[in-house]
Amino acid sequence: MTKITFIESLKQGLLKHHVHDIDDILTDYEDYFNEQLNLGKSEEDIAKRLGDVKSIIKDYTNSKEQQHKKWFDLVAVGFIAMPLLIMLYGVLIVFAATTLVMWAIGVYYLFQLDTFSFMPYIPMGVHVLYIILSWASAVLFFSLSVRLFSTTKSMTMQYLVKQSIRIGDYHIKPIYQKLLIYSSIVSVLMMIVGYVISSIVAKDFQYWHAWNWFR
Amino acid sequence: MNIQYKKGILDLLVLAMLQKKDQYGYDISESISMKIEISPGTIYPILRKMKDDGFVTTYLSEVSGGPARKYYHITELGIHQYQKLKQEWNELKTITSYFLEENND
Repeated sequence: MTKITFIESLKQGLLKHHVHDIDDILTDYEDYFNEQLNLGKSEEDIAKRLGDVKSIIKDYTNSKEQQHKKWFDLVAVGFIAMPLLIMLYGVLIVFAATTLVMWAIGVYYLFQLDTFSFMPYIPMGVHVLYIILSWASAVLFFSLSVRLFSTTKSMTMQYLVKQSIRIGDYHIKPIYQKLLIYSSIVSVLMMIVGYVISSIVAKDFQYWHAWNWFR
Repeated sequence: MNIQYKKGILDLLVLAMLQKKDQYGYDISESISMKIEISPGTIYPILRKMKDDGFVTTYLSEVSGGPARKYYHITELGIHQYQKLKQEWNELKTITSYFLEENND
């Protein structure tokens, strides 16, 4: 088999199986022929070494189910993935904003500011618990944002670049996992302790009434 | 060597080469088919599959006086895949040697 017959029968076979981007595949085999010809090998020998054309074609069409799914992927990307991605980025913005707000609330109480009349009154001493609570929540939402961002980025890659519906590989540093766990524990703990201490200080289980939070 | 062994390890070999530097497609198929007996025609479909999976990208590079050559470049996704496969290989190696050594006793 000569170079031309090899390349041509490979091309015809791939065309018959609707393999996409055939020229890209052929380049590899043309390169192979050229390099081996430069070494002085005969076209016949090179073709023999490359192997049976039919089995090569089979190697390219083994992922045939994927090709059948192609139209489904395209439709799904348009109607499901895009709105989903937009939503996810929306949630991401909310998480990031919550991180900032939680951090700011902590700072507000730390410096005993009274700039905003709408901020609920918290007595001295008890306020430390609420500062810890808001900062723990800030860390919690920060790690959630990082996590969501990693997944969403990976999904965007899959959907928009490769047009296939699945979550790709993504990588989250263990430190963010730990942050997520510890900050959730601290948040829940502070909520409970905050409630108990506030109730004791205000001598009222509904201490928010005692401190006139909702006037 | 068992054909199943060869096929199972090819992805890792290709990614290991690419993770060092971009490679000319011909060099990939030649260096692998020189070491383990496998037809170069088997390696190109694997490279193509990796490209479809987003592990590698390709580009054409002009060489003075000759036709453009097709080069392969590993992506970030490909590097993750390489690390994953490498870890799996190491685990397999440990397990295998554990059983082999036990049988020696």
